[in-house]
Amino acid sequence: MNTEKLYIPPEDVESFTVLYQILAHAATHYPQKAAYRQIESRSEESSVTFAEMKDRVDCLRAALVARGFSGRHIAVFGETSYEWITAYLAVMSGVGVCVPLDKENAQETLVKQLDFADIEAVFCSAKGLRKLQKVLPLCQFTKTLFVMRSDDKPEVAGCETVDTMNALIEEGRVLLAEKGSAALPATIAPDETSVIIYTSGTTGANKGVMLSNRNIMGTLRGCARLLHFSDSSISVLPINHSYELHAHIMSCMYCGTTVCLNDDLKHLLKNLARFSPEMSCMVPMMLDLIVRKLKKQIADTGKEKTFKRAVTLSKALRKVGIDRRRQLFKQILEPLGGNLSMIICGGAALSQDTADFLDNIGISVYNGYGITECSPVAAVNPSKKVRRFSVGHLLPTMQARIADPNEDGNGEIQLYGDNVMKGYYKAPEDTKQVFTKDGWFRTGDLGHIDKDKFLFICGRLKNLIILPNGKNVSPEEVEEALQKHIPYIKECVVYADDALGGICALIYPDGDFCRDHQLTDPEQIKKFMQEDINSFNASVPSFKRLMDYQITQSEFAKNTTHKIQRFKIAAINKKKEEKANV
Amino acid sequence: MFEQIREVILEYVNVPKDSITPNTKFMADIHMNSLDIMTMVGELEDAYDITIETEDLNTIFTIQDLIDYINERI
Repeated sequence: MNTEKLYIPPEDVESFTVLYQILAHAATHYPQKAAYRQIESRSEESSVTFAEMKDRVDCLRAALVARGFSGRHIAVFGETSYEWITAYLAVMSGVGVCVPLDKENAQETLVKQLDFADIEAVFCSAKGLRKLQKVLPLCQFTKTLFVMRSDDKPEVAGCETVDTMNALIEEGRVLLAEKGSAALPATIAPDETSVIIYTSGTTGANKGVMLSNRNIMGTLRGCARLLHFSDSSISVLPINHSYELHAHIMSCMYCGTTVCLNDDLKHLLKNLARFSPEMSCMVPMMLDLIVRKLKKQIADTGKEKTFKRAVTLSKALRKVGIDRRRQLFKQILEPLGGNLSMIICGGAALSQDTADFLDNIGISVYNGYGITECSPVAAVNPSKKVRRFSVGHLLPTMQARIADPNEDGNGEIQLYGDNVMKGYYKAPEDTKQVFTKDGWFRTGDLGHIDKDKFLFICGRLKNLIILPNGKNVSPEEVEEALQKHIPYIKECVVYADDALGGICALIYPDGDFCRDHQLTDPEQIKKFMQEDINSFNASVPSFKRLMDYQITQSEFAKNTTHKIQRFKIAAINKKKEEKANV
Repeated sequence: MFEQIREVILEYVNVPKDSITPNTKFMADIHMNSLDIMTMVGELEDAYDITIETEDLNTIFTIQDLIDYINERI
């Protein structure tokens, strides 16, 4: 158990402009504290301290410079590990440009991304090598491979050099012993592109977001000012996403938090129990799973009534300033390791019911909002005061404005500040489109900001439906209202139907509800739902009424951060329409 | 093995036990989502001391598919 005190960023950290300064600071102030803990096998675990991390990063920087990789583009590919983080920090700290790749990518996508980003070398995990071996012979520029978490140097077709990260680190150590700091990159320019992150593509297109050290530091400083990070955390989201990499893993380094690395999404629940972390960053789908499991556990033990009474008592005590949640719900929290008390949530819309359930049992949920182009965090609910239904307080490092607000005050959210990207790689036209003439970033999200700088999101501008009568409908707003009105709708997507001249919905109902009511086929469900749809239609203005709706019994397609891929559903609907018109 | 998998499934979804048969489809029939399936598979890995590759889940739709997959590896 680590006993060092929680690190509170002092004033000098506020002036840091590059990530390496944070690593150096942590290594100086908390040299022996574990920076990362990771699973090596079912029974074995390893850890690395902040001092060891800095040493490894420095050795790697020296070796990469000596091998001529200054200014070059280098990718990192594989499961989350401290070796992955070492490679990332080394490359982006004065060596070249680091390009994190999604380990779930299909082979053809990997070839495209490696070529498009001009990747010359890849740090690849031993596990990721199987996929990459088929990809590298097809790549134009990638001729060097560094294998992480292994001492094997396999033959790889298309590669001129294959080496291990361990060998590279030892090479750098010798160079540092001989030349001292002269072996390291001369400078780390805060405003130069240091990272290119591919967006996850809910729109169907992948773009390379160029970020500088200063951009990323904007997110770190902003998050650290609003949130009190705990002493230990668990990383469960894909590390190539800016949300996990910067808002979580790098913010933890900024705050001196030990990060336990989940080895596979499959082991999410098991590793919560194994590491007993105090906090995590998650997407809503994970919170929903945790809540479902906990509710099942309460039901199976026949303690539903006791639980309800305890919640009522706890709420009453909290009103007079007494918080006994951790004691009252200790047994319920045990399967999550017993210490989990804080979850930062982002990536998709969070159900307030889920957040409330967790809050009732002692896990505070801090909903946030971000976009890869903003490194990624723009707003997060502060530890001091959570505003329900809001995606949080604007980060102190950001400015926001609402363009063309409607009568409800909702309009496009535009952002300005340190966090905002430099642009899209090799796509000046795309870059031009997302910036206003006076340099503000157009998020494409619709919402409003209240007088206390809390942000509320109501939809995506690009999804905005313009009806023949000129009225604008945000599909997300209708979807949320529909789900609130009809609680047995699990997921739904609202879309425009030109033929009907209004909006329609594709609805995925809750399976448990359907079973309880013996509803088996879509037509039967549709009939059952009609009365509730009528009541919904009566509760909204005429242009927000559903002209028709269809039932689907399969979950909607989602991307790796579990956002519904609306463009895929739109494409299916279009095909259906075309078929109907033939 | 079917009984054990059924017990694990029942920790994720609220369905009558008898409605789950070897031919039950995880997503279409009992509405498990992708994360449910992933974490359920993680639990079964431990129970049978095997590794189930995430990519292989693309070919596993029914309980019988999963039973066949596990049987090939134990």
